[in-house]
Amino acid sequence: MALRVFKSSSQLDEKEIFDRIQKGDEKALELIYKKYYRMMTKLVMTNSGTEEEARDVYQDALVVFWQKARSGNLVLTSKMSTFIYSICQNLWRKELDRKKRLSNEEKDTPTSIDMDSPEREKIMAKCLGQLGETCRKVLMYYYFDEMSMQEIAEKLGFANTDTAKTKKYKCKQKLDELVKSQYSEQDFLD
Amino acid sequence: MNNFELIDDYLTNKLGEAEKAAFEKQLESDPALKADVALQNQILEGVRKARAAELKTMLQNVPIGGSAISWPVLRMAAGIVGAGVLIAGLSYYFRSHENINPSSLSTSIEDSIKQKEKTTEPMEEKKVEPTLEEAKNNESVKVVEEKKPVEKKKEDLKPLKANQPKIEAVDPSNEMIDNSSSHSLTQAESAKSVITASHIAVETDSSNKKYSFHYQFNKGKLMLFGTFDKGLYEILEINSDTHSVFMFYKDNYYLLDEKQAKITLLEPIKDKALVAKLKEYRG
Repeated sequence: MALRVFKSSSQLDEKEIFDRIQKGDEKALELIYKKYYRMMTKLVMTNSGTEEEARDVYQDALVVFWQKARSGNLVLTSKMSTFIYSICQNLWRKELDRKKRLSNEEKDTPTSIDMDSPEREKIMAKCLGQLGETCRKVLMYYYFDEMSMQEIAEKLGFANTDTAKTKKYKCKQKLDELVKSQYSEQDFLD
Repeated sequence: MNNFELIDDYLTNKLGEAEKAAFEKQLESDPALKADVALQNQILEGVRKARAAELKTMLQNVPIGGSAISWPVLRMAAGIVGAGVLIAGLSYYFRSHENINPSSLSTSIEDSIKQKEKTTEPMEEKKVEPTLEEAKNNESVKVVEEKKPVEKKKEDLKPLKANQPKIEAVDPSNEMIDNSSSHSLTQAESAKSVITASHIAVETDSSNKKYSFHYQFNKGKLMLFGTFDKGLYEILEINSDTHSVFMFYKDNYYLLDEKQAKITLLEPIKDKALVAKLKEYRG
């Protein structure tokens, strides 16, 4: 059983919201975001973070939570907020470590530790931008949200799972081609 | 199953144990396949990152009750401290204490806002009391500024007078906002914070991926690279024997070398004594 035994009405709400998130309902994620905003941002702000950083960490944490919930492997043994809180804690700890390292190291190596990776990200973003909206969504739902073909078909209004499957296959191939052509272009430039 | 699907299933953990082992064995002896898997992995990562960014943007656009942050950018200036004159050009995200809904803000947010008000209190003699509605909907909160009381007090402060920047130059509409109307200030406190326009022009550039937290001086203009516009920074100019420029941003102070024409990484000042001094200057 996923949630605890003592079910006050708010916990029932919580279960309902969690179910909706598991089903890929983005509105439910927004609800959660609002509900715990104060609690989660306070965590960062009382630990030497700014509100902007707090918001950033909280949003990242919810994205992680979303993906975990979507994967179907997440069984909540605590309150949802406790779980999200622990993700925030971890992320903020990591960020603080990163900052610390940065202030120690960056004196010697000013900017470009790895210029390759942002460059690659730029290429990826460009290629994804060249795909149509539907293609982009199919791929995101499949690879990030780990939706089944059935879910993708329902969400995007395809006739059936076969259509979704074909779409996904074609879209992925198109993206591959775009990325490969960009990469070889990049090689020429180098 | 062709290679395309096989790689896809491998990277999305859809292969059974035996298939996975066989595929990994094949990988070891086939560099071309290995390279292909690496590329595919990058592509999938790219897709995932894009989706994560999309979700984040969605959350970013969710209005948060009382603590929705769309504070107007306000420009403020200056304080005079000690022997030197401090001219501060502040770009502030600011809002009135009256606008804060205590029930929807954590105490730490309130504290930090109070803190900010403290630093600006001396400058205020104006009534800015936008309603919560206004604060939410209005990018630029209207400000009615009365400079007179501040100027009067300034005249009493003889030691500071010589270096006094031209207060009249301030354009009240955009240079400064004062929102707390505390009348409990002593004269000295009020005088301490005479307001003036900072003469350093500042421009921020958040579009440059390569420079995420950098600065340069370009023809006397300060260029800041990074997402400063979302946060809060203050430019502090200190005129004593020498002229120095500092920036205060997210609890750290940074020295800005006016001769620095190269785009340079901003590094927080570590010297505790200097930081303490700057804190004092900032008020």
